[in-house]
Amino acid sequence: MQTSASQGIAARPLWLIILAAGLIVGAAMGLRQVMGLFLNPMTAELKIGREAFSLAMAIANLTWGLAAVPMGAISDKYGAGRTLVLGALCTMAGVYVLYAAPDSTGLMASSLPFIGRFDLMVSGLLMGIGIAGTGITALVGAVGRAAPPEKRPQALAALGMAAGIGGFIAFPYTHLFMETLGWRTTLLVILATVALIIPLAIPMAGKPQAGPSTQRQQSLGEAFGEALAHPSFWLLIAGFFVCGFHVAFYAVHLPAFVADKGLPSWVAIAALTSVGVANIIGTYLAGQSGKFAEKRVSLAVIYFMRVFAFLGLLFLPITEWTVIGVSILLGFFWLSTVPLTSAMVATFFGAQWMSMLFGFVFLSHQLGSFAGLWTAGRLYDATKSYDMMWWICIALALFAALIHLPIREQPVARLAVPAQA
Amino acid sequence: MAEPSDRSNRPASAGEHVPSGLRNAVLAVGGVLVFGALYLIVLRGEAILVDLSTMTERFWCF
Repeated sequence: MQTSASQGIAARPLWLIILAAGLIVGAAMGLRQVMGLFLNPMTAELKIGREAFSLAMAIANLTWGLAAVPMGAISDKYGAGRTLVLGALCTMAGVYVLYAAPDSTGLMASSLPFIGRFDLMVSGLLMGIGIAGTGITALVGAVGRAAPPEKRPQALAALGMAAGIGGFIAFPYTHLFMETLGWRTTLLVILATVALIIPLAIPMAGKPQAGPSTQRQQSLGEAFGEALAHPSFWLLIAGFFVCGFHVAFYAVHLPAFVADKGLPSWVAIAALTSVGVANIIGTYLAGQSGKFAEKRVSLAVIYFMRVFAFLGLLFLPITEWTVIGVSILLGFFWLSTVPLTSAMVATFFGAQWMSMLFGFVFLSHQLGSFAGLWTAGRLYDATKSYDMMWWICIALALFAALIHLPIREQPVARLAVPAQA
Repeated sequence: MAEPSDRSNRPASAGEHVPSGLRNAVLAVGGVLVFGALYLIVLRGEAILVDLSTMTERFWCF
């Protein structure tokens, strides 16, 4: 009989793992969202160009996407506790480097002289590694392994909801702190918040338990080889690229679209808030859909429903209420893709390397985000309109909906073959 | 085909359910934070937007 200690994380109740993971991912994703707020005060006070700060944030995004795979692999092999602590420490270090950035007036000297003028880039690098270790990609494996397959979409949806809530509430509170405490002190508040991840990592600690005794364990290389040779895995990757393309474009360019249409600026805030709230509800519903529908069908429906939102922006009269209505519709089908996509990875290959393989899928999401932003900027500069971009979004949504239909939602043959003694 | 997992063959026990007091506390704190955030957005939304408007690399997604 196994003892509780030897069972590790598997011995802990599922609710405790989801609660701890939810709090961690909420804090991590909230931090991830708010860094843009520091652009104006930091560049003004430190007398640095906006390019330097933007570059640091771009480095953070790129590093996050690239580090998600190795961090996921560490989380899968040694347990999420290690990546969480490493990620939290890296994030804290990155935030501290920003806090200690030297003031050009000399009133605030950097306490990190060895970093010199590269401090913002170093900060971006550290925060990118940090979010890869504490964000949703690092935790889907731990939660996915803890939950039985029939409850996995709901458990992962809880994680997605926590990420949505964290990102949603972080903006207004951080903005309030910055106004009342100043940006440097707000960074210390953020640093202290991130520090809470370390004790919260305790319930997530412990080496993942091996799967059922009938199942042979895979090496990292075998897992990658198997995934890359699996056609349905590539279809999932292609679909998640479209998800990133849509959400990054809509969120970033919506305020400009609203302004172009002559609508007041409160419409953009109301619309993005509607997306945030509807996203939380949509993610919950996506998790529940796992009880009565195949995940590939739910994902196809999510992508297909986005078509109507984009068509609405092309053909409906653009008023305050149509923009908000479309945003609510889009919000329901925003990141509700995450629990279903991550659960599908576990359905294909089991949960042993779930974080690493989802990290690979997530890299495609980040590339899609980049492509969406870049394409939108190029097309807008060329045509002074977003119409072409809405049509591209519609075409991609239809493409994503269609490619999910032929996905074979069943485990690979390996999972049915008993291990050799 | 059944999908194997760490807990796939383990029936949900009483320990799998959140204690009701803790669940209520989490919901209450979460609710207060979300409604507080909504209140702040209503109150200061435009200022937030202005402060973000120059940050083209901002993502609200991931």
